[in-house]
Amino acid sequence: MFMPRQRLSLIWGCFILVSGAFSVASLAGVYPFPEFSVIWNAVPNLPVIISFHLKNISRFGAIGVIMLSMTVVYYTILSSDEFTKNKLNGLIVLSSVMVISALCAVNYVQLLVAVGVVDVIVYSIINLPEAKRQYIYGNFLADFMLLCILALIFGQQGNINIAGIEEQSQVWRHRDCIAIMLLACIFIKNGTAFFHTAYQKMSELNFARLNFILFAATPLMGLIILQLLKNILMISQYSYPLLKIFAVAGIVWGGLGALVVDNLKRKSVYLSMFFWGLSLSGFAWLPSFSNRRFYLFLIAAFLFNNILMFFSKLRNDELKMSRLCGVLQSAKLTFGICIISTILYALAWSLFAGRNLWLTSVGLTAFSFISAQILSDAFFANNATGKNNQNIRLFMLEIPVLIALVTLIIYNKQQLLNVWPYIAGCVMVWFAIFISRPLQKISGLYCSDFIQKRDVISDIYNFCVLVPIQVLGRGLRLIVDFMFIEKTVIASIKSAIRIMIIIFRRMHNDNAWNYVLFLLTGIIIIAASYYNGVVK
Amino acid sequence: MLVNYIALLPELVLFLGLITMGLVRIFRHTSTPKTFYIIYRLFLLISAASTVLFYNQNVGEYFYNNSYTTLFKFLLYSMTFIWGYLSLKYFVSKNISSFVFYEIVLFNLLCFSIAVSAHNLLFLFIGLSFQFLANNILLRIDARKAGAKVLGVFSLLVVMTFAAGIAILYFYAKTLDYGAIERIMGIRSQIIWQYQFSVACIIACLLFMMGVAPFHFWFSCVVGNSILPVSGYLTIVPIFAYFSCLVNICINAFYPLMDWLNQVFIIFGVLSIFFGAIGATSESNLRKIFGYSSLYFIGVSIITLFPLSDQGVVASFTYLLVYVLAMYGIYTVFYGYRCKGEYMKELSDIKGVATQRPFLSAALLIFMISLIGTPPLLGFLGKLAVVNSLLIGQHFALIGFELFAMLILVCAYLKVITAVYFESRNNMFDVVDRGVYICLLINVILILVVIINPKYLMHDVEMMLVEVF
Amino acid sequence: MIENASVLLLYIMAVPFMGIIFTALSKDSSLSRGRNALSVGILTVIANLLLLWIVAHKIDHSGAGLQLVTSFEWLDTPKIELLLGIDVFSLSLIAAIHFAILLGFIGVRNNNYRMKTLVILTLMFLEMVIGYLLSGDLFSFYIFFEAMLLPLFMLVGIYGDVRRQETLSRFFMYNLLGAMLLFVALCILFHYQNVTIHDISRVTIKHNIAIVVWSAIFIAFLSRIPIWPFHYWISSVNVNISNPLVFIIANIIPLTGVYGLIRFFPLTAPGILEPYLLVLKIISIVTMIIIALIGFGNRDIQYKIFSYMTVFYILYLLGALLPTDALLSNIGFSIFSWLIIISAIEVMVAYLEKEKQRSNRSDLGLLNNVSRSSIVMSFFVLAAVGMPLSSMFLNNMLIFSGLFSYNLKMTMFILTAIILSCLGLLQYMFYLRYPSEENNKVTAIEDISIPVFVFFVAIMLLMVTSFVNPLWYME
Repeated sequence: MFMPRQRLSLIWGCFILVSGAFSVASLAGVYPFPEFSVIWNAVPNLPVIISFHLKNISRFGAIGVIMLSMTVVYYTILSSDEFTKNKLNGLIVLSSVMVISALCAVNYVQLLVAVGVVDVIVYSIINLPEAKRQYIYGNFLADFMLLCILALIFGQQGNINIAGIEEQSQVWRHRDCIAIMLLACIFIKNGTAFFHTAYQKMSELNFARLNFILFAATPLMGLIILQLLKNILMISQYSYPLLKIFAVAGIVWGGLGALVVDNLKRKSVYLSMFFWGLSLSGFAWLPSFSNRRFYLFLIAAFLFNNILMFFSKLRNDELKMSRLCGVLQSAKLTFGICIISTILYALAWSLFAGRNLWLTSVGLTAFSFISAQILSDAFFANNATGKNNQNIRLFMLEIPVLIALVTLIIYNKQQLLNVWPYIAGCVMVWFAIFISRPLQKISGLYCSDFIQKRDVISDIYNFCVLVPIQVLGRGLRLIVDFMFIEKTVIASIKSAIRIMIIIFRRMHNDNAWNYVLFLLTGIIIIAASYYNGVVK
Repeated sequence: MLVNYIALLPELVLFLGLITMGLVRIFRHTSTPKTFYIIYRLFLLISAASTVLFYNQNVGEYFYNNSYTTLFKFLLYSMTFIWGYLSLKYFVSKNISSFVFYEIVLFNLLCFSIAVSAHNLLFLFIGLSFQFLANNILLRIDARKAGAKVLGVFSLLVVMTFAAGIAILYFYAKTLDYGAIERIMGIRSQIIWQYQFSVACIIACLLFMMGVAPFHFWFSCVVGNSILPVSGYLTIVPIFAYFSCLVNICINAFYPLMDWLNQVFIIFGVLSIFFGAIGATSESNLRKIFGYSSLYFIGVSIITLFPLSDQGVVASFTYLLVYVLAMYGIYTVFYGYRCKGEYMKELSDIKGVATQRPFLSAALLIFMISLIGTPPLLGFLGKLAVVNSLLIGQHFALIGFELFAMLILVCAYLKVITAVYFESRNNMFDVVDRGVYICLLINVILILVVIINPKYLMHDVEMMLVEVF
Repeated sequence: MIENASVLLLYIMAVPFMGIIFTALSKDSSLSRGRNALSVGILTVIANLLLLWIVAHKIDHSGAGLQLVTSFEWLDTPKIELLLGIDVFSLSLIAAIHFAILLGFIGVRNNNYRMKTLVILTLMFLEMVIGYLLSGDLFSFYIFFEAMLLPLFMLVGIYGDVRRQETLSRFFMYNLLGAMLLFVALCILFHYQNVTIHDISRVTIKHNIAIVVWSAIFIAFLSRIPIWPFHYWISSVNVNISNPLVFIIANIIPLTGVYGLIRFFPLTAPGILEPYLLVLKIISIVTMIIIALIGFGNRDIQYKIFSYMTVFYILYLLGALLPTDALLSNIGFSIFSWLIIISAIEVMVAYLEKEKQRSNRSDLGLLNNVSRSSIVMSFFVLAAVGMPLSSMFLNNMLIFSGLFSYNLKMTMFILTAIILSCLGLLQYMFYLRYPSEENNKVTAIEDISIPVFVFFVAIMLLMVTSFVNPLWYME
């Protein structure tokens, strides 16, 4: 009211950043973190304990989520194409709180509420109707499935404690059903292959919103659900094979998408799919899932995704990879930041998946080809004539990458020192791929309308699911309502009444014989009653 | 002994009223419709007052008054009085003589009074036959003779049959007193077919007069074609007298034959219900719709009445009372549905009337809903009484049939409601007389308020009705 | 302070009656265009809501059975005593109905077609529904069950745009048939033993009669719920109602059927009905699926809303028929939000329909550039599909849990139907928000006014409060 709007958003953003920094510090143990739990009587006869006790499992998660959120808030403050910064920053904070609430959940209700609220918040963050539509369709189904799973479990378990799964899940009924529904819910939330249409439609959101959703909101909730309810997967023989199949599908589809798609935001979506595919595969193949390393990997992936934003910003918000025209050639600093981001990604992945060598190798190889291809597309261009928009604001956008690098080095100094020859080797191999551009021909697909514009999965859903349901609905209306009830039941009743009325009218026309007939009928009734009541 | 003759005072007053009205007709040349109404009102009120005052005075064993008869007489007087008041609007607006109407109505009242109090078949015959014949004259008012023609022939036939029945009975039983006849018929070995034949004749005549199916054909014809005061009168007033006489004669004279008569009544009742419901649905003439629905209600009353338990009598009477009150209200509304001086008769005439006459239409709606027996209107009390009574008699099939027929009847009412409320208006309706509104208001209040606490009223009515036993 | 708390129930019943009288007496000139009548209607509903609040503080929310019981000896022969009482479940429903009608009043504030009649009939309906939900004995239950038909019929007939009068008649007829069946059944029960509704299953009847009686009661209540084949008549009436208030009222009617079954078939439901219950459940689920499919495939929003409501009504019905009473309060809390949500959606739909006709546009992208309407619509649709924005969210989870424990396959079908009907709503909302290029060429519709928006925000807060604590009004 008393200050310009922009300044207000700056103050609000800075306040969030300071609060976030304080939260991270307290979570890291610098200050005591205010832990608490409250009893919530949201459902009659079922008190729910809402807990904010951070155990080790959630502490790193909370730090990761807050840091991601802070980064997005930071980007939002700097963003020039964001017009509702206050609202967006508020929603980001709320979303982070709900994600942390999910991380802390010790019962189904807290988890369910957190998941649902995050969906509503993300729905509000998405400011494109079509993206909102696809998002809410998918996540409504996912939430509904989660609700059903928890209802089913609650019905059998008798309580809402997540800890009870381990003890009691072996005696549950419908175990396969529960496990498969849970996986379906997670896949939808993660946006893995075949479930990614909702995220595809988000490719017109601005980068800050898009990257926040892709890394710090719904897909992350999917992984948190998986982590918290992982014991449910044990009860079915189908769950791990399914998880593995979809993880690989996510890696392949996401990787291919990231390579062939021209639009930077869509590329970002595919890169996130690739990342979540890697995460799911880590969950499926690794002997134990390290939270600390996962969240490190998450931040690295988020930062790597942001390089696409840098490309776009460098070329006046250009969104086509094919039109970047060697953007990195004249932006050496950004190029350096991109290389750092790539290294960060690779390092974080290696740390996360290090206990499974072949998984690490496959992941690294795939990532190397993808990242090298993307960067080389941005670096080497047929026509490097474009003019860059390098300014101080862009540099500000790149600061988080540097902070992350420094943090990574400080906290993993010893490990990095042990493996530096491997790192150096990998970097060299990567540069070899970068320069040789083995996948250069793929760039030709940027011109393919089929790949760039067609949404095959949406088409499949439309033709295989929606259209049959609609046809069935209309057919049923025709058969059940119109043919059966209107034309058969009602028509019969109407005809019967009409016939009765016709007979009645004939009996009552002004004809003396009719009157005589009535009189005779009366007499017959009396006589018949006499016979029945007296004579018999 | 002489003191007892004071019991005839109401009838005497009515008789004097008839003579006075005749004299005025002859000697006063400037009489208006209101003139006869004033005489009618004066004598009717005096007669009503004396009826209530001498409610327990009897004249020997032939003319017997008690709470039961007084209840019916009081209702007859009240209904006749109010209907007479409303009918005046018709005669004033049409500017035709009201002499015949008021004279015959007063005469009918005298006859009914005799018939209701009669404890002898001869008095019953005199009361009912004369009034039935007199109806022929009513139907000739305003030169509409279609109904009169039908009734003319059959009323003579009925009166002759009634007379024949009584004659045969007297010839063989040597008495026409109710008590004596009951005693004779109570001895099974003494019953001869001639008795049964004469009873059949008498009962058939009573049923014919009531217009119960299959003897209903004259009623719908008469109601549909006569002028509004006459059709309303025939629908509302006589039924109380017939009902009272039927109950009285069946309980006090023909009770030993009830095994047989029960079947007769139930079949007649069922047929009435059926014909009433179908007839109402098939019609587009407003008066015929309600004429046929009267048939339905009389049918329900009859099936509830038999066998003649005190529960059945009370239930049947309650139902009848509720029906008459609502029907009276409906006919009052018909007085308000007037366009260019003409009273509307067809459904198509009253389309969209609710937009111009909302209170009249709301009243019509309330009365029709009351007739259906929907709570919280008085009609519910009637329905409750009937179903309760039939349940006590374990007549589940009859309940089912009654309710099924009710659904068909409701179709007819829905047609009326649709025309009044949901269709667009095609007529400009005349201004409604304040008297119509007053009568409607009283009736609506009765229907709405009595249901709130009917306990005390029903208790008293029950006490009065059981005196017939 | 009110000394005798049970008198409060009589006050709650008296307030709409007084409202009817005041509305009838209100001056309704061409200038006021029915505003006076509407104001009386709104004030009546608000007054009753305040009374309900007081009642909420007077009753024990953990107590079983009816509270604040008041009785009235109505008739000697047969001896009938009318009984009124309230519990948390009926309180929730009554409050929800009041809010729904309040929303309906807001929805019709700009209509001027026979407003006085509309308000009178609405208050009459409200009076009857309150009576029905407060009934503690067989006869008062029936009296109000049937009595609400008349105002409903009149409202639908006058304001319902039902072009085919025949349809309306059929609607009334089968409702009346249901009421008659209930009447006969209750009379028979009454003859065996005069009990309150809560003790109804204690009545012991002969086997054959018991089948007839309970079947009659079943059919009576089912006739109010759009279960096959009754759905056809209800749908053919409902989809033609463009007046939001009347639509809301017409859709409260199935609630009376569900409530009846809940009251008559608690844990103690007669064993004789067991085989028939299975048949009912199968028919219910088939109906759910069919209606959900039809709703999904149908372009008409009224049908979609009808389909959504039907599916949820059957869900609540099936929840109530489970052999446990534990879910009763969950059903009550869920219905509380659900009814308000669907009423708000209907009010918005009616508003948009009107604006659409005024601006001569199609549904496509109608909500673009109207932020207030868009926010309201989005909130209520999201709440309707089960997002954590109202008490529906968690209470439905418990209902599902109960159903799952009973039969997994059946529940899967139920959930499929729910998903389809919810998707239908979402589909419509996004159709309204679709960014069409044509929209840029035409003028945007007029947004809802700020006072109305504030009112909706208050309702949204109410919904969120009910999510946080469904018993907020008792604490």
